[in-house]
Amino acid sequence: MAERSRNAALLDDVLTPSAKDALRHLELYARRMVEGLLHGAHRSKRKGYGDNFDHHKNYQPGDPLKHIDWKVSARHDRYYVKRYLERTALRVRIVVDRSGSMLQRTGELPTKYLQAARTAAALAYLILRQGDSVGLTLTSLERTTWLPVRSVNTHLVAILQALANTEPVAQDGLQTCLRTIVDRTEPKGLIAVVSDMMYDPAPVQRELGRLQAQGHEVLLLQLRDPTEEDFPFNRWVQFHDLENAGVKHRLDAAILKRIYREEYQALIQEWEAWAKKYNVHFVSFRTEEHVETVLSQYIAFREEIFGK
Amino acid sequence: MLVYNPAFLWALLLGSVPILIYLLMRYRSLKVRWGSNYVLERAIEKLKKKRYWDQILLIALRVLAIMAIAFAFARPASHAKDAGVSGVHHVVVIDTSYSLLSGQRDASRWQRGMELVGRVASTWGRSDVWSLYVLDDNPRWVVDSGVVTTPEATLATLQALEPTETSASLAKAFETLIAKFPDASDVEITVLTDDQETAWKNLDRVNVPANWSPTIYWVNPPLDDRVNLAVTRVRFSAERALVKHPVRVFVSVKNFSADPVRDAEVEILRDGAFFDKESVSLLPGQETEIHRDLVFDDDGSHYVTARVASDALDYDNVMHAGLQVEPTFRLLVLRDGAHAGKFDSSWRFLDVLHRVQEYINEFDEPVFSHGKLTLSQTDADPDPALLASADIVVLDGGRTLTPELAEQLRRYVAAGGGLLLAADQNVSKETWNDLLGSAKLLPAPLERLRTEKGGGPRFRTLARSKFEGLSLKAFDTPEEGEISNALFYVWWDTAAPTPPARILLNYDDGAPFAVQLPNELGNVLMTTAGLNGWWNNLVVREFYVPLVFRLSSEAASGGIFPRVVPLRSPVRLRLSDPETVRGVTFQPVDAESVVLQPTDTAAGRVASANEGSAKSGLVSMLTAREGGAAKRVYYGVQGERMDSDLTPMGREARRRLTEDLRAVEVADWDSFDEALQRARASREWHHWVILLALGMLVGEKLLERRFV
Repeated sequence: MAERSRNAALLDDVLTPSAKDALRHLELYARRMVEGLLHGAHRSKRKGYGDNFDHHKNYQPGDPLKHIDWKVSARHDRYYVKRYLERTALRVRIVVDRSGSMLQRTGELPTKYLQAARTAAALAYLILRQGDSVGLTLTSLERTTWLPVRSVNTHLVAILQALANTEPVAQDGLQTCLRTIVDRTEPKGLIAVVSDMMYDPAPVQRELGRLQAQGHEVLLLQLRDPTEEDFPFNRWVQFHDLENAGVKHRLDAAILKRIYREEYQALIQEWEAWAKKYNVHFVSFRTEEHVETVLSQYIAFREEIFGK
Repeated sequence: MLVYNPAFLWALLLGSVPILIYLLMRYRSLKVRWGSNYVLERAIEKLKKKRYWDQILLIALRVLAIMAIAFAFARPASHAKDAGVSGVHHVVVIDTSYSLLSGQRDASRWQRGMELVGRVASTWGRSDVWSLYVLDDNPRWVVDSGVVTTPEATLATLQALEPTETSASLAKAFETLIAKFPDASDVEITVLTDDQETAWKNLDRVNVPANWSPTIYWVNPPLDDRVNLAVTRVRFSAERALVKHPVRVFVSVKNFSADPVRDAEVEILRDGAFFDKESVSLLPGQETEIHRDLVFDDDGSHYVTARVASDALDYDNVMHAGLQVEPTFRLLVLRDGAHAGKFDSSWRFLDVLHRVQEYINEFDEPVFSHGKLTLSQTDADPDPALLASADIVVLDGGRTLTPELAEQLRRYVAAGGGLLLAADQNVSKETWNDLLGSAKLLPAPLERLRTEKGGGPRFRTLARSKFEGLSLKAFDTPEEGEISNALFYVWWDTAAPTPPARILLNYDDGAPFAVQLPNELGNVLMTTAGLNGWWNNLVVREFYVPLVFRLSSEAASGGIFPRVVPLRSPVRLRLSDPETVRGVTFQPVDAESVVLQPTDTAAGRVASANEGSAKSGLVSMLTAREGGAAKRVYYGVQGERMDSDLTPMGREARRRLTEDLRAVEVADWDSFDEALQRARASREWHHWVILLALGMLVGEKLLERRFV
C-alpha cells in the first residue's frame, strides 16, 4: 500500500490535478496530415468518408449511396460520389532530455527535468485523452528508455511512472536518440522534444531536419532555468559541470556576466532562427512558469494558426 | 623629482590591495553546480579571446589608481631646475647653544624645534643635496653638500646633535651662508634658533646682497615665561682648608630676565646634602653674591653645590665647586744661625700659635681639636726632600737669601709648594728684588722700608672693606676679630704687583699688605710687613690665629690643582705616593668614565684629563691604590653663563630678519607646513597625480561596464 501511495504521489507530482483540469478541454491537433490505423480527429492522406471534402469520383457499384452528390450528378447526368480526407489518430512521440544538466534548479523552483517531465506528462495526458497515441523516450548518452506509442489510457500510467522514476544522469544523448527514431522509420507523427537545448545545436538540428524530411512534425519545447539565464553572480564562482563530473571552471563571474548572457541569448536565438527556417514550432519557457499555462497558450496558438 | 611627504611612499604598497583582493576572492569562490556548461565554455572562450587584455588592464588600472592616490599624498614636486641631484639645496642651520633648552613643562624649545626640523627633513627627496651648519662657539659645516640617502640617515645626523655650553651668533651664520651660496635661488634654509637678543646681535651689520633670496624658515618655538636665574659662580675662599676650620663659599646668582625677581631661593648643598638656603631678590641683569661658612669634619675631597629653583632655563640653575680638606698644614721656617734674636724671624711669632694648638684643659684634654699647623725650622741649606715635605715654606729677613736658596725655592714652588714671604725690617731689598724677582717668586718689588716709632701716631692698619682675596674676606665682619685694630709701625712700600699677582688684603690707605702670585701649581704669598712681631701688634690681637690659618690656607692652596675648573679645561690630579696608585679614572658629566694614564711632571706624577668636561657640573677622579679603598676627588666644572640671557630680540632685528631676509617664522608644524606648501606650491604637481588617479578610476569603471 505504501509503495502504491508513494507511486501515486510521484505521479501526482508529475501530472498534477490542476494540470489535468487545465488541459481537460484542450485538444492538440496535428499540423500535418497523419497516418493512422485508427479513425481519429486528424486529417489523413488516406481518403475516406469524413468531414473534409477532397474531390468527386464516379460512382462505382458498392459505393454507399449516401455519399452520392445528387446535385453534381444531376448537372452532369452521371453519378458522382463525394470523396473526403479521412481523419485518423495522431501519433506522438515525446522525447525528454534526461541528461545531467536537467538537474539545474533555482532556489525552490523545480528542476528543469521536473518541468520537462510535467510537460511530457501533460502532453501525454492531452493526447491520450483525445484518443490519440503517444510514446515516450527518455534520453541520455548513458541510457535511453523507450516506451512504445499506444493509445490506451493505461499507457498514461506507464508514461508517468517512467517520468517519475527517472533521474537525470550523464551527458546529453539527444542526437543519438533522434538518429534512432530516424532509423526506425516510425509512422509519421509528432515528435515533441522537451529539453534545455544547452548543447551544440548543429548535430541535433541535423537529426531534427531528417525527421522533418520523413514527414514528422517536430515540436521543440525548451526549458530555461532563471539562474542559468540571468547569471546573477557578481563574484568569483566555481562552476561544477552537472554532466561531466570533475569538470569545473573557476572565474570572476562579474567579468563574464555580460558575455555569458549574450551567449545564452545567442543560443536561444540560434534555435529560434532554425525553427523559423524549418517551420518548426519552438516553445521556450522558464521553469518558474506553469506547464499547463504554457501548453494552453501553445495549443491556443496552434489552433489559431491551423484551425480545426 | 622630490616628494615632501616621503612617509606616504609606503602607501604605494596599497597598490597590491586589488591583487590581494583578486587572489582572496578567487580563493573564496562560490561553488555552484552548473547545467549550461556549453554556454559557459563558449562565454569563457569568447572572454579569453576578446577580454583577456581588458582584464589585465582592469586590474592594472585599479593598482595604478591606488598607487597614484598614495603618491599624491606623498606630495611630489619638481625641482626648480633639472640638475641631477642638485635640485633644491636644503640647508639646516642649528643653534646648539644651551638657551635652546629653555621651555616649560612639556618640552624644551630644542625638542620642539628638532621635531619640526626632523619633519621637514623627512619631506626631502632621496637625491636632494643638503648641508648642516652647526652654530656654536666653533661654527662648522657638519654636512657639506651631502646627498640625502634615506630620511632615517638624515634624521640620525640631526638627532646626534645636542645643545652645548656655547653661544651662537646668527649674524656670523648669515655671513657664512651668503658667502657659500651667493646665488641662493634654489636654496631652502631652515634655521633652528630662538629669538634671543644676544644670538641675533649685529644682524644689522650683515651685508645682504639685493639678489640674495633663498627660502628661509626660522624655526622659533615660542617661550611664554622668560624668567631665568642662573648660578654664575661658586667659589671657596681657598682650594685647601683644614679639618673643622671654617671655609667660606661664595655663590653668585644673576637675574638674566627683563623683569625683577623677588625672593628666589638659593640652596647650598654640602657634599650633596642640604646645608642652607637664602632668598634673593634681583633686578633685571643684577648679579649678587651670597656666602656661607662651611666646616668639614673629615679630611679628603669635598664639594658644594649651589642651585636656584626651576625657571625657564634649568640648565644654568646648578653649579658645583670642589675643595680639598687637610688634617694639617706643614710649615717650614727658614732661619739663619747669624740671626738669633727674638724678633729676627717669624719662628717665634709662629711658635706662639704652635703652643696655642697644644693647650690642654683641666681634664688633660686638648683644647684645640681642629686641623693644625705643624711647625718646623731649619737653619741649614734645605734640601729638596725637606722642602717637599712642607706645605708652606716661610722666608723672611731672618734668613739670608742666596742664589742657591732662591733656585731651590723656585723649584719648590714650581713643584706646587706654597711660599710665604714675610718682608720684615731685616729683608735686603736688593737681594729679594734681584734673586726672587729673577726667579719669578716676588709678587711685588720692594721699594722702601718705612719705619715709625713704636706706639707713635704714624702707623698703618689693615682695611676691613678692601678684601680682594677670598681667603681673607672672612674679616669683612668682626666675627673672627676686628682686623682694623692691627697696627704696623714698620712696613715696606712696594711697586705695583707683577702680573698675574693680585692683592689679597690692603692697608687702610690702599697700599697692599698681602700680595699673591699664583702659579698653575704652587703659590707665593707675600706680606709687606713682618710676621715676627717686631713693630706690630698682630700677636696680641684676637684675629691672630684666624689670620695665620687663612694665610696658610691660601699659601697651601697652590699644592693642588684647582678644584674649580673652567669648561673644556684640563682636569688634573697630583698623585701623592704615586707608586701605590693602581689606576685613575675620570668621570665627566653625562658621559662614560675615562681611564687616565698618569705622567711624570715637575710637580710629580699627575693624572690629567686634558679634554676636561664639555658640560658644566660635578666631575671626579677616582684613584685606586694598592691595599686601600679607592678615593674620589671632586671638581666643579663651571662654564660661563654666556647664553643664559633669554631677552627677546629687538624690533629692528626682527624687522631685518623678516623683511630684509624674508625669513618666515614658524612656531609649530601647522605654520611650518603652511609655509612650506606656500613656497612649494608652484613646484608641486600632486593635483595632476590626483587627476590622473581619477582618470584611471573613471577608466576602470568604464572598462568594468564592458563586463557587466
